[in-house]
This record gives sequence, structure tokens and C-alpha cells, in this order.
Amino acid sequence: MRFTKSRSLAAISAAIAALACFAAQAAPPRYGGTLHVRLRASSVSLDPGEWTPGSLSSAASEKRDTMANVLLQREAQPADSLLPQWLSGYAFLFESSMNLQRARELRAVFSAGVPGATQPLRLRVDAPGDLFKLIGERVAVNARQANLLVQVALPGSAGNSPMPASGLHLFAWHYDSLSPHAELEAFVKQLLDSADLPANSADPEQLFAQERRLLEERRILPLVLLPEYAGVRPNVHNWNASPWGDWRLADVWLDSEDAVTTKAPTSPQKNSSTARNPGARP
Amino acid sequence: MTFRTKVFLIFLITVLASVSLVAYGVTFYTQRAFEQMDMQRTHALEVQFGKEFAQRGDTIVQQVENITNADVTVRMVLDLARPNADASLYLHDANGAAQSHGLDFVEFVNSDGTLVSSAQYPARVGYKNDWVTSAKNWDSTGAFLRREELPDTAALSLTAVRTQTVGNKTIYIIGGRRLDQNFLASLELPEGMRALLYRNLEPTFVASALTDANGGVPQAGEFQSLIEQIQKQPQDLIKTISWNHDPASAETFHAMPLKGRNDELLGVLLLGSSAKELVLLKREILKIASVVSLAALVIGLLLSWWVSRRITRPVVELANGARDVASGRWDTKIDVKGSDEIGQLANAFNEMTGTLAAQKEKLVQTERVAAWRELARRLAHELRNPLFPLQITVENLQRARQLGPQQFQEVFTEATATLKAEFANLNSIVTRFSDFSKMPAPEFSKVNVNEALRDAIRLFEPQFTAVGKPHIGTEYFLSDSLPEIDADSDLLHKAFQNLVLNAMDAMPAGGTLSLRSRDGGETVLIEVSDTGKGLTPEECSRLFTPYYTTKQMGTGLGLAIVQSVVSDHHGTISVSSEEGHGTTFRIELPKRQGGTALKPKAEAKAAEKESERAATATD
Repeated sequence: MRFTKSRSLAAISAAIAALACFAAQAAPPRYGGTLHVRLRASSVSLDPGEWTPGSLSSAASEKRDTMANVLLQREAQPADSLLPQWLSGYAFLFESSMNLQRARELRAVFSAGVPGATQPLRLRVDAPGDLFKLIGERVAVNARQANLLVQVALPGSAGNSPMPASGLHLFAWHYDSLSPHAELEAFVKQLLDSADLPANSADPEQLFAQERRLLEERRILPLVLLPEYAGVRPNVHNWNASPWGDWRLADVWLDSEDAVTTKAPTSPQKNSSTARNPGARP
Repeated sequence: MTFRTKVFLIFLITVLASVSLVAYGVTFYTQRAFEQMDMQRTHALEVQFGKEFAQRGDTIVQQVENITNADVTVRMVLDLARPNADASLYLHDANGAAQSHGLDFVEFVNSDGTLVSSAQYPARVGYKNDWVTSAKNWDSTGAFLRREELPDTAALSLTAVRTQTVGNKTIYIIGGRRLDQNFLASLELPEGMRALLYRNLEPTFVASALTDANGGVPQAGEFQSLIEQIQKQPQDLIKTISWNHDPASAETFHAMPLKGRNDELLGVLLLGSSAKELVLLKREILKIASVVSLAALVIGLLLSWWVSRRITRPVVELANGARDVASGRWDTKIDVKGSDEIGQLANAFNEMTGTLAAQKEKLVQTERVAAWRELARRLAHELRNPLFPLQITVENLQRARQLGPQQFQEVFTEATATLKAEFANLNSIVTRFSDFSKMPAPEFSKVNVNEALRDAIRLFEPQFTAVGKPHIGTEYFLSDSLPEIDADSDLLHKAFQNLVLNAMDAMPAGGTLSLRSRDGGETVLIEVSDTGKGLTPEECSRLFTPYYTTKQMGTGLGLAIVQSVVSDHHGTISVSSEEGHGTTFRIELPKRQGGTALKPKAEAKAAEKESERAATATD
């Protein structure tokens, strides 16, 4: 089995690992995704735009490059928007205007009772695996630069259940649609508990305004755009995904199983010269 | 408390004190020996800890140097020395190095202090480790204690730092091992000792930071004050902790601060020594001492009883002898053998009683002669008084023969009257002496003392108030609750009469006669006081001697009779007097006469009369 990286970006997850273990033809198509930190602040009366996310995003912004280039071994790209450039076409217009000094200023006005001031703010990491944990710890390290206490809570750990009413949530968002309106609407519905987008929001300008408004609320902080991997067995030939994640199965042909077995071993590490395990050295 | 009891107690106390002293001494020296042994063990453990610490440090230094000199590290330096080098390629190198070299913590730090790779905290990659670049001589520095930041917590590590330089490029290699329960488990501890480690990674005491070779320490809160004291002032301290009410549960902890490179307190090593062995040994000593004390008590009891008996027997015999002497047996002898002090005392006592007996015999003879002389003098004096008028009267009668019959008749009549009177006087004198010599034995019956006193006064009341005589007043202070006593009413009456007569004689110019009675418990107290001229001390001392009198016409028998009656009633009489202020006689009579059968008063009287009749018939 070898791994190929599509041009589209997709979230790394357990689903991807599972995909790598089975035939590529059996897997559903993937269009990419992003990693986000979301604020859950239902019980916090402070203006969320002025406290944790602001401080956190300010602290994290300077280190997104390190997150993408070092921790994710250049397999990811820093994300400034909810929708990627290939999906919305206007993502380049978003620019992070955040810095550590601003983060510390925001942190300085915290009262003692605010989560993150004296008691750690819990960052729930839903997905299992060291990579998600590493990203979560990086968020915590970045937050610590702004004197914001963040504690990573992994799935299954004692500190992860039950999820507190307030806290942070590290999650991966998968783009299942080629429609920016549909993706943004799904974002709003599933993550921000907001009302539906206007019916005429298919207009890119309106979508841009809507997304900018959502980002300015700072209840969700995009971190990095992640690649999507597909694993194919050695007897699969001429397999290429489109930039949008479509699988062009019309060009694919297969060797017989016996020939493949005698020609090459099935170990993905040894067989695939292009295989890339995110977060691991080549 | 008798002398024997005192000797017994002293001997017993001495035995017990000796046993207690020995037990205390053994306990004290045992405890001191244990404490010294404990100190030696603690010191040995300190040395062992130091050696283990140094050995581990050397091992870590060696492992870090191995990483530093590895080809992959040299290649890393070469690669990072290139312009626009991609440090992200080495993200996981530290993890691999840590695993291959058996270290808990490995980090690669770029020459500018940027963290290139971290085995324990990869999320910190890209951040600066300024503390590494601030020092210059890492290659000659040994392992040291360090607070290691981890994603979720912090740890105490034994860390070494080395540098790898290729060309102008230098990277720092930091390696360390966690200082935790595994380190404590590697220490070889003597029995009864344990080592605890407190990782001082928080500003306040955290119970979970205390660990022993098995992990967490129960009741870690007991160490809070000790740890906080060291946090305030890092220095060696010793504290004994009792885990429960049993003293055997106590442990003495020697706490030693563990400091980092900058003298910051990073940990506290606690070497605990159980007091169980010492307490058990002390209990054993106490148990043995108790048994020995009990045995010593029994032996001491027997021995002290025997010794005290042996010592005090001659003393008791002496005391008994003295008591016999006091009771009148002047010839008492003590049979004491030996020539020690007691023997000498007994011999001296025997000599003394012999001398006393001889002196008594002489005194009795002397007194007897004196008494006879006094009696003769008194008789002569008493008899001479009536004899002289008799002689004058007889001479007058002889001369009257020369007179006429009528005149002779007158003289004769007058002379015979005088002779009669004087003969009566002589008879009275003889009767009084006779009465005294024939004082009867008391016949006891129930007698009301107050009534007896009033009867005695009633007899003389006409004389107290007679016209032409000095007036004598009477005062009664008689206790109404006075019970009847066993006494001879006639003798008692006679005694009281004599006391009243004596008081009347003492008050020729009149005065007041006071009578008192009160209950004295087993006795009845009677006082007869006058306001006469009083007596001198010399007179008081001789007052009850028979035939002694201070009066011109007295026989000296009145108070002797009183004393005889009181003595026959097993009572006592005393006199107190002050010249010019009167005299008081105090009589104390027992309420009951032991061993003497009481007779009804009438029966007693009849018996007395019968006795008198028999005596008359005999005469």
C-alpha cells in the first residue's frame, strides 16, 4: 500500500488512518478540512470577543507557522479563515492581525474567577492520537505565553468527561461539499448555534462578510489547513484525485493480486516511496 | 508509724528505687545507643544517596555525551549550519535519542536557544531555552537537578548538558532522567528505614509531590510543616512524626534540601527511621524491669520485714521495758544480746532500771520516814491543842479545892464542860485520822455528777449566807446533757465536800465559788474554782500530800481524801492557781468503770452498813 496526497487539504483523523488500511476504492471521497479551536462559553458572562479567544488567538497566531511547518512537518498550512482558499476563493483576504503583546494585554484584564486565569481552561481534544494531542499541547504552550492557563483533556482521560460547560474544543472540520455556502451554513449550524445564513448568501461578497463577522466574534479560531491522504494498494494503478478530492476512477486499472504479491511486499512503509506520515520524519 | 514500719518502708523504697534506677539507666543508655545507631544509619544513607546521585549523574553525563558525539547529531549540526536550514526535520530526533539511550528527557537546542527537538515536550519546539545559552561551560559541568516542564505537569530531573560544535555551529544537547520513586527504589535501605522524596515544583506544599519507593505517601499532610519550614529556609531538619497513638509508629525523618544549579530548592530528601525497634526494646526493658521490680518487691518485702524485725526487736524490747518502768516495774530487765549500739543501749537500760529500783527503795524508805515524821508532827500539833486546855482545866480544879464549896462548884462545872469539849475535840481528831486510814473501796453505781455537786453546795449554803460571816456567792456552769457516770456517790460527795470546804477556807473575806461540769467524750470534766488568795507553785505541788496543810487548823487530809477518791475512780485531779486570783481544781472522771460490776445504790448502802456493823462487833 502506498499513500498519496491529494492537492486538496483534509483533516487528519482516525478515519484517515482507517482509510489507509483498506482499498482506496471503498473509501468515500474527501475534500479537505481545517483544525479549529472553538470556545464553549455558555456559562461565562464575559464578552467572548474580548477574553479567551482573543487572547488565545493572539498568542497562537504567531506560532501557526511552527504548528504547520514543524509539528505537522509542512504537511499543513496556516489557516486564517473558516473556508479554504480553494473552496471560497476569498480566503486570502483574511489576515491575522494578532500578536502576543495584545494577548498579554487582554489576559491582564482577567479577573481571578475567569477560567484560564487561576484555574486552567480545559481544551478538549476529541480525536485520539499523538498528533492531535501535540497540536493541543502546542495551543496550550502558546496560550501560556500570554499567561493563559490551558489544560489539554484527551478523549478517555479522566479530565475529559464530562465536558464542562465552558472551555475550549480542538476539532477538525471536514469539507464535505464544494459549495462554500453549504459549508459555511454547516459551520454556523453545527458549531456556532447561529441562525441560518440568508437565502441570497451564495453571493461571494456576502459570504465573505458573513465569514468575517463569524471570525470577528472570535468564538472559533482556525489553526491550520490539513491535507487528506488516501491509501491505495500496490495493485492499483493510475489513481489520481482531482484538486477537489474527486477520484477519477475511470483511469484506474488493477493488477492481479498474485502478480502484486510476488512483485512487491505490502508493507506501506517500505513499499511507498511517497508515503508521508504526518508528524514523522521521512 | 512505728519504727519497724519506717525501717520496712525505707528498705522497700531503697530496693524499688535501686531497681527503677537500673531500669532507667538501661533504658537511657539503650535509647542513646539507638539514637547513635540511627544517626549512623542516616549518615550512611546520606552518603549512599550522594554516591547514587553522583553515579546517576555520571551515567547521565555519559549518555548525553554519547548522544552528543553520535553521527546523527553531528549531521544535525552540519545541516542546521546551512543557511535556511529546515529544523522541522529533527522534530522527533530527541524522542529517538531518548529511547535509544534510556533517558527520560532529551532536547536539542539550537545555538540561538531555539528548541529544535524535545522528547518530553515536543509542543514547545520553536520556543527559546535561554537558560542553556546563558551558561558557557556546559562540557565541564556535571549533572544537576532541574525542574523539567512537561505538558501536563512538571518533573524533577537529574540533567546534564553538552554541546556539539561543528565549524561555527553549536547545538546544545540536554538529557536527563526523572528523579522519582524509581530512584528511591534503587537505594539500599537498612531495615526500619525508608527514603522519601518531595519534589518542590510548586510554591506551596503539594501532598502528591511526596513519594517513596512505592509511590504516593499516605498521610503526606503530616510532612507539610516540615516541608514548609525547609521551603522558607533550606537547611537540614529533623522531625519525628507519630502516625497514630502507638509510639511504635513514630518515625524520625532527617530532611535534606536538594538544590538546583542556581541554589533554588527543587526537592527535599527525607530519610525516615522507624522508632518501632527502639519502642519495642524499651517496652521489653520495661517489662523485664517490671518483673524484676515485682520480684524485688516481694523479696524486698520479706527481706525488709526480716531486717526490720531483726533491727527493731531490741528496740521494741527496750520500749516495752521503758513502758514497764513507766508503769512502776522499776526492776525491769531486758534480754538483749550483742555488743552493738542496741546492745549497749540495752545494757545501759538495765543499769538504769537497777539504779532506779535501788533509788526507789531508798526514796520509799525516806518518804515513809518523812510521812511518819509528818504524821507525828501533825498528831503532836493536833493533840497538843486540846491537851493544853485540859492541863489548865485540871490545874484549875486542883487549885479550886482551896475555894469554898460554892466557888468550887462553879469552877468544877466550868472545868467539866471544858474537859468534855476538849475530849470531844480529841475524839474528832482521832476520828478524822481514823477515817482517812479506813478509806473504803468505791462501790460504783450510776451517779449524776451535777446532782452530786449541787448536794455538796446545798450542805454549806447556810454558812455562805450566815449573818456576820463573809458572803460567798455560788455560780453554776453545769452541762445539762451530762450523762450519769459510774461512781460511788458517797465518796464523790465526800470529795466535793472537801473541795467546797477548801474553797471556803480559801475565801475568809468572801468571794465566789464556781462549779463547772462538761462532757469530755469518754470522761466528765468537773471544775471547782474559788476567788480566794490563791496558792504558790510550791504549795500547788505539795497540795495533795497527806497531812500537808497551809491552814492553822487544818489536818492536811482534805485534799488527800479528794485525790484518793479521784484515784479510786480511775480519774485525775489537777490544780491551777494564781496568787491573788483564786484556785481551780480540775477533776476528770471516766464515764464508765471497766470490769467493775455496778451495784444499786440502796444495795451498796446496805452492804456498807453491814460492813460497819461487822466491824463494830469485832471491836
